[in-house]
Amino acid sequence: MVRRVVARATPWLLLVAPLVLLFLFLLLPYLLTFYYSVTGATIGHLSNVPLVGSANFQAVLTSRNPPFPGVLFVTAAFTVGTLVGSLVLGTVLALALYTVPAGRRSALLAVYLIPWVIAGVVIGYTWKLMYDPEIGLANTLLEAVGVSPVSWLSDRATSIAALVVANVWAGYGIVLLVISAALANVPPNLILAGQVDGAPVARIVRRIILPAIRPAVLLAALVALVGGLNTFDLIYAMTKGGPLYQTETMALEMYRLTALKGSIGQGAAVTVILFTISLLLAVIYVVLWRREARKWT
Amino acid sequence: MDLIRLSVVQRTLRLILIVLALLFTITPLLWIISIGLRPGSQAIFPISILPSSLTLDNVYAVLFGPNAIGLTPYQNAAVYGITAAVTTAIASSLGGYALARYDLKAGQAVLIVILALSFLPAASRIVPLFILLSASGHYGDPLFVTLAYAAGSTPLGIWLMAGTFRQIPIRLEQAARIDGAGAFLTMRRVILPLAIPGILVVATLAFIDGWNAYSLPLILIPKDTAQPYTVALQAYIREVGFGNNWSLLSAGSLVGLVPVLVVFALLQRRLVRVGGLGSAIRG
Repeated sequence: MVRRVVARATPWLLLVAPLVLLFLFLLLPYLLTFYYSVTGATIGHLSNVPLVGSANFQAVLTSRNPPFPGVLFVTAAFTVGTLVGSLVLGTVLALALYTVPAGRRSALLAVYLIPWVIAGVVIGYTWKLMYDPEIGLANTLLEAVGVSPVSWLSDRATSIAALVVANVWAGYGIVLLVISAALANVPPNLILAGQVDGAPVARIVRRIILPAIRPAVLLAALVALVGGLNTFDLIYAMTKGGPLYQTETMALEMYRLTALKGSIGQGAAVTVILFTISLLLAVIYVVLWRREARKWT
Repeated sequence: MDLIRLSVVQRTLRLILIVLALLFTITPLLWIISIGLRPGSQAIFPISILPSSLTLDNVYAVLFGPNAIGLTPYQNAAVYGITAAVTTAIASSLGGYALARYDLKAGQAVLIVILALSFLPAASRIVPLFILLSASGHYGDPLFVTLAYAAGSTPLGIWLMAGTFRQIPIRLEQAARIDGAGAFLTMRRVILPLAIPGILVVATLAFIDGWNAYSLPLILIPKDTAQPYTVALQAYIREVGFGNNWSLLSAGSLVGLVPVLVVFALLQRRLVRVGGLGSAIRG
C-alpha cells in the first residue's frame, strides 16, 4: 500500500523542482503583470496600489510622445520585415542546400548558424558599427563605388530597414535549420516519382517539396514573427528607439515606460497587449510543434 | 544516383546563393574583428577596408587599460552562464525523466502550458520580472536574475531530456535493479552516463543564454559591479552624436564572443540537430 503511494508520487516528486522554478519565474510574473496593468503602481510604490481600471491602456493608446500608432507602425514594419526577410532567405537557402552532399551541408549549416549563439546586444553593436557614418563598412563600400554616404540610423525609413537587415542576419539561420530538417524528412519516393514522370526541377519544388514542408515553414514563420515582435536587445543596442522615438517598438516602449518613466502600470499595460498577441501565436505554434515533433523524434 | 539532377545553370545559381549567404553571415563578423584588432589610429575616417597591421592592444585596453571595463563583467557573465547551465541541467533532467518514464495524464497538459510560455522571448518577461522582483524585495539580486534565465531555458531542456531518456531502454534500468542496484546507484551508473550527451546540449544552450544575458541584468541589477559584459560595454557608446569608442567596443565584443563560439564549435553537430527542434527558445 505504502509502496504504491510512493510509486505514484515519484514522478510528481521529480517534477517539484522544475515546476516550482517555472511557476516562480515564468508564470507568476505574467500573472502579476495582468494585475498591475489595472493599477496605478509606480516604481517605489508597489503595495496598496489603487485600481484604475482601463486608465493605463487608455494612456498608452492615446499617448502623444510618441504617438501609439507610430509605435505600432514601427513594430509592424520591423516584425513583418524580419518575417519576410528571414523566411525567404532561410527557405531559398535550405532548398539550395538540399542538393548538397550531407557532410558539406552540415558544415555550411554550422557557419550560417553562428549568429544564433551571439548575444543580441553584441549583434546590435556589430551592425551599429557596420552602419557607422565614419568607419562603417556600408558607407565605405558605397564610397568605393562612388555613391555618396548615407546616414543609416538617423532617418526613420533607412533605420527601420537597417534594423530589419540586422535582425534577419541574427535569425535566418534558425529558419534555415527548421526547414532543412523538414526537407530531410520529405519521402524520397515522392521526389523520385516526379523525376520518373519527367517533371522539371522547378515543378518538383513547387508541387512536391513545398507542400511537404509547409507545416515547417509555418512553424518557422511563427518563430520569426514572435521573435520580431519581442526584439529588444538588438534594437536597444543599435538605436535605443531613436532618433526621437523613430524606431521605438512596443518592446522598447514597455521598457521605457517601466524603467525610465517609472510607470509600472503603463509598462504592464503594453506588456499585456504584446503578451496577448504573442500568446495567440503561441497557441498556433504549440499545435504545429506537436505535429512536427512527432515526425522528428 | 542523385535524387535531383540539376542543370549547369541551376548549379551555378545554387553556388552563387550559397556564397552570397556566406558573405552576408561572415562579413559583419570580419568587420568587427578587423576594427577590434587594428590599432586605434587606423579606426578613423577615412578608413581602409583591410588594416595594415593587427594588434591585441585594444583587447588589453578593454581588460586592463585606463578606460577598461575590466575582467569583472566577464566573470559576472561566466557566473550567470554557469549557474544557469547547472540549474537548467538539473531541473530539465528531473522533469524530463518524470515525463519520459511515467505515464502522466496531467503531465501532457503541464508540458503544453510550459511550451507555450517558453515560446515567449525574454523581452516580454522584462516588465513581469521587474514587477516580481521589486514586489518581493529581490530587486538587484543577481541570483534571481540567473534563475529567471534558467527558467527560460528549462522548458526546451525538459523536452530534450524527455527525448534523451526515452531513448535509453527501460530494460537496462530493470536489469540493474534485478542485479541489486538501488534507485540511486541505477541512476548514477546506468542512466546518467547514457544521458550525458543530452545533458551537455541542454547545459550548453543555457550557458549561452546566461552568458549573453542583457535585458534582464540591465533592468534588474542596478549595481555596476554585478553587471555582465553586455551591459558594461555600453560605457563605450556615446548617447548623442559621434564619438563611440569603436576600437574598445569591438575588442570588448570579441572577448565576449570567444566563449560562445568555442562551445558552439565543440558542440555544433549536436546543437545543429537540436536547434531544428528547439529553435523557439531564442527569439
